[in-house]
Amino acid sequence: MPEPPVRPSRIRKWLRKNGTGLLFISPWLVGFFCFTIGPFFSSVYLSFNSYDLVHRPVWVGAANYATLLHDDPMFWQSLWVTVKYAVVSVPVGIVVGVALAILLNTKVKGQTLFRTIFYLPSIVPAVANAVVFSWILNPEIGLINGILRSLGLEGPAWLNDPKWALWSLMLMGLWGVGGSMVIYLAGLQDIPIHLYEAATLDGASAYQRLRKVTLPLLTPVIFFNLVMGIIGSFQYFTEAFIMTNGGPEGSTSFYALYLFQRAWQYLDMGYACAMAWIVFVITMVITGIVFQSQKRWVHFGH
Amino acid sequence: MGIDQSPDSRPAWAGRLKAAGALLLVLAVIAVLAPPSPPELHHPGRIKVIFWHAFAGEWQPIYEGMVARFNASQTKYEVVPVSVPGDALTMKFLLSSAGGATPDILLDWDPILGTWTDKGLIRSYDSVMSPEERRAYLAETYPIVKRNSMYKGKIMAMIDGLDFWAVYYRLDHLKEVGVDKDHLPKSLEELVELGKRLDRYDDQHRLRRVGFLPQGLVGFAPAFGGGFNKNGRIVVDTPENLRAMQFLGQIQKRLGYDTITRFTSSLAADAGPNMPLIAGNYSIMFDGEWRVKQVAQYKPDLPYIVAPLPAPAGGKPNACNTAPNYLVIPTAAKCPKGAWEFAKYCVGIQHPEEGGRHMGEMGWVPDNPSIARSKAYQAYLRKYPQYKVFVDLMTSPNLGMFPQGSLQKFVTDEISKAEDGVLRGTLSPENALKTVETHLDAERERLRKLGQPVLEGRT
Repeated sequence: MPEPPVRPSRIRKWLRKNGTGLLFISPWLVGFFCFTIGPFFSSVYLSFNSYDLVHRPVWVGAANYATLLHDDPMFWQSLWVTVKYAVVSVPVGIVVGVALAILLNTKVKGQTLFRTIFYLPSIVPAVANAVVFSWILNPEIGLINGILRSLGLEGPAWLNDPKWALWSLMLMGLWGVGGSMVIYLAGLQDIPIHLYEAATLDGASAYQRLRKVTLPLLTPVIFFNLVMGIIGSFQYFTEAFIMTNGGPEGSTSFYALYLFQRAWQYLDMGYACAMAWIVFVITMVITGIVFQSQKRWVHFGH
Repeated sequence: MGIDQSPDSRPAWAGRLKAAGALLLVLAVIAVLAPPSPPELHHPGRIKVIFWHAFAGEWQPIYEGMVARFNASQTKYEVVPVSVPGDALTMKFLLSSAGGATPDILLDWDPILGTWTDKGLIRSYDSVMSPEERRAYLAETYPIVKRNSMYKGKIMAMIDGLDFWAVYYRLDHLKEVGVDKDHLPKSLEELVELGKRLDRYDDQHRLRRVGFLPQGLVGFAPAFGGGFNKNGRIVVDTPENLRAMQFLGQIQKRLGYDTITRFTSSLAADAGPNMPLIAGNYSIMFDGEWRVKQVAQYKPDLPYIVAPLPAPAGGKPNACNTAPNYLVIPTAAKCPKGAWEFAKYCVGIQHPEEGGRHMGEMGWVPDNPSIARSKAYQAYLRKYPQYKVFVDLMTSPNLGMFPQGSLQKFVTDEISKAEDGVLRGTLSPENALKTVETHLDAERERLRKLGQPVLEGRT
């Protein structure tokens, strides 16, 4: 009796199909598992420990979380600063990004040049941006106050004034809006032209076309940028670290900055891990709410 | 039946083999074309001593010149200097400690001694010194250098450069108000009055020159008899520190915080040919010893004089804070004996002439009198006579130190915040110091709750 043909197992089949691809991405996979997934899960464990990077972690249960929530005013202050930043900078970034994209989507001479100019700032490294803006916002020799002075106005001390420092960083955030603008621009070009033609034939004005055609069909892109903007705001660090280091008077003490201080300056790694997990949960919850809400306002065109 | 030659019918392993072959080929090309790393050791037969420091720019070749002289003097060890960016040095060291691959010796100017000792990151020099060397070190080193190098009765660091502060007067500015170098202020109050006469505004009432602007509680507290370490514990809210804080707050109030912020933000650079003393932004500055050499380099004909800070009423003369560069040996160092050999050479122990040369080249004050008396250092003093003020300050009993212990970084940050509040006028000096103490107690309590030992102060 002839032997039945050996059927390869599902795994072997899958490996045969994807093996070459996996081999090519293996350097990335190794990095991902070692430097992202590994630390991700070890930080869960460390958040329940007292750990100073040098000695073995000591299990403290939920003490890090309890202390953060009940006995650490800086935790709440830094969270509040970050929320304020997110609440203002994310919507403003969306409005400015969409507005720029719409402007740059019009057919004018030199359109490509304008697109390049508006996109360029977003590829400048954050550190270089911070150094340039430190000069632009200098109260005495800075560009903005120089312009205001020529108009007979005395500008504020910007980064040195607790009332203005956070606003200064929000203003600076708009400088990098070119990144999201390009995505909006791609979204705009995906909107079928016949929808505009039909709206025009029906007598819709430019404003009505914007409201009834452009914005609804751009909502998937807006939704994407909203989610990314929220996540980015809770990770805001570099500019504040370089330009204000949390000051003046704690007005720019962002959450990530305080986390960094606890981890690397006070060697409180377990505490910093707990902070990281709290902000992760907060970000997940907000993102979840945004995802829930998208059913009401995001139009996927079907 | 013919054989199917279509690509799909090839065995799957053939594709994977090709991919692996391509990968190997790429790696081989990289391995062949990549330039070889420069030889780390110039004397392969010697024991390697890895040394991290943060000197860069114009200071790096000067500092590493001293390292080269050490290597030339040796038959046993070779020090390999590695310049690490100053901001990243502490973090890199902590990571290297966690991984057990530290340098053999490193130089750091952050306030780290208490924290690193309490965490077991660095080893005591007592373990590498011979009893004779230890005795000689304790007998010969200036007291303030010893205080900075010791922690809880052990020698935890060698001090390779200890910063001092004194008052720099621009004589040409003083001449404008009829004061010369023989009639300098005798008290801090007189100094403040003189400073007021030297302030200059432009026609739009913008501050263009400041006579005297004292800033920094840690720097001025010693002149009021204050300090931050008492009986093995960090203390902040003391009557002396309060007086110092009130003094700083009053000066700021007179000129106005916003005015000062705008003035200081307009200054071109802290160092180089446009540094404030040379540019004439200030007439009188309370500043460190390194300025002498900078002035000589960029504006040798600048008319100025240096003198110790005059004491306030009821305060202390010849007082200032001190800030050391710590040469420390990590616990995980592979060659602590070699590190000690290098440290001795570096700070001039048993090598006073080399120490004198090194301290002079770096613009520092020597660690002990025999280095100060060395020919090299005396030649340096003849070249830069203003430096003598700082050498004389070495023996003053009124020198201060940064807060010590595991919480030194925390408390230093808190003091800065408190001072900022006072200078802005949002906190009274009394409340500011009380707030620091409250936050310090809360931090101690927090650490206790988390089971972390709170170790502080020197005993």
